[in-house]
Amino acid sequence: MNIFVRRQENDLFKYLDDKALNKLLEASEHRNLKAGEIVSPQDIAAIVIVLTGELTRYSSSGRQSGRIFPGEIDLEAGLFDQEALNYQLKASSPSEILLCPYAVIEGITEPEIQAQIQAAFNDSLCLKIARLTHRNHDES
Amino acid sequence: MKAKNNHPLYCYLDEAEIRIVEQARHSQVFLPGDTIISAGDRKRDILCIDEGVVLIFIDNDADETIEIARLQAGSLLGEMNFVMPTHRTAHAKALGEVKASIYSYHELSAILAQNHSLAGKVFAALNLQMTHKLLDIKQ
Repeated sequence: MNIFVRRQENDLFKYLDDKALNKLLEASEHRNLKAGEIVSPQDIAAIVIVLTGELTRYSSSGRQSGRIFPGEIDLEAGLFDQEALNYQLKASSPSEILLCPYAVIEGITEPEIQAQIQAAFNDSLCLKIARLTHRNHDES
Repeated sequence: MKAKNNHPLYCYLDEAEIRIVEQARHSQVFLPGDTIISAGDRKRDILCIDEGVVLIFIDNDADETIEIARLQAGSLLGEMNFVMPTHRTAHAKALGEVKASIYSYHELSAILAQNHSLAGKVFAALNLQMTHKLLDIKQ
């Protein structure tokens, strides 16, 4: 959907103007992770934005199921279905992340910002499905 | 966001908002065996199956047909192409008679560009659908 134009580098705030970006940045928590440190999605209830370093997704059975690079986001599916949080994130190297709480996203009242954030989730979820289905096709 | 109904595209919309989105809706009936979507198509319309069953399949390198899924009434088709301009990745064929609502990409985009409140809710509905698809793929 091309009703918004990309204005920011990271994938969560990509369509926001600077004013909206700063407001959401203020509501987000900055964290430094050591290599090997684990983030449990159920504990944080937030969208993860990788600033530096890299996170790896591990399924509940311990299988590696994807990587998240700087600028990319994860855990957005948990806003729509808690079952989607059935995995863990592990810092592959020392990493900086931002956590934007689900409550902050749900509390956005300005229609344009709400639409811009949902549009960013559209893009991110679509890419995740494409990566998984293409990988499955490649494996078949 | 709280769901107001079970429709895959309207689930966060009230009746007045549904009437606006319906301006982009076109009904179509497909007969048994009709092709609904062809892999490789670059169309970006969203389809909702209102009645009937749709077979989703791909052709492998040996030109064999591989069934991916059977979608029932209430399922969405083509939402990924609506979000990102790519090509259709699978074929869709009517199993029996299928009634579908087709939401024109251009008409729906024009409506959503003018109404951000509506856009946020329709995008959220698509996100809910894609989250369920993501869960299905992982299983």
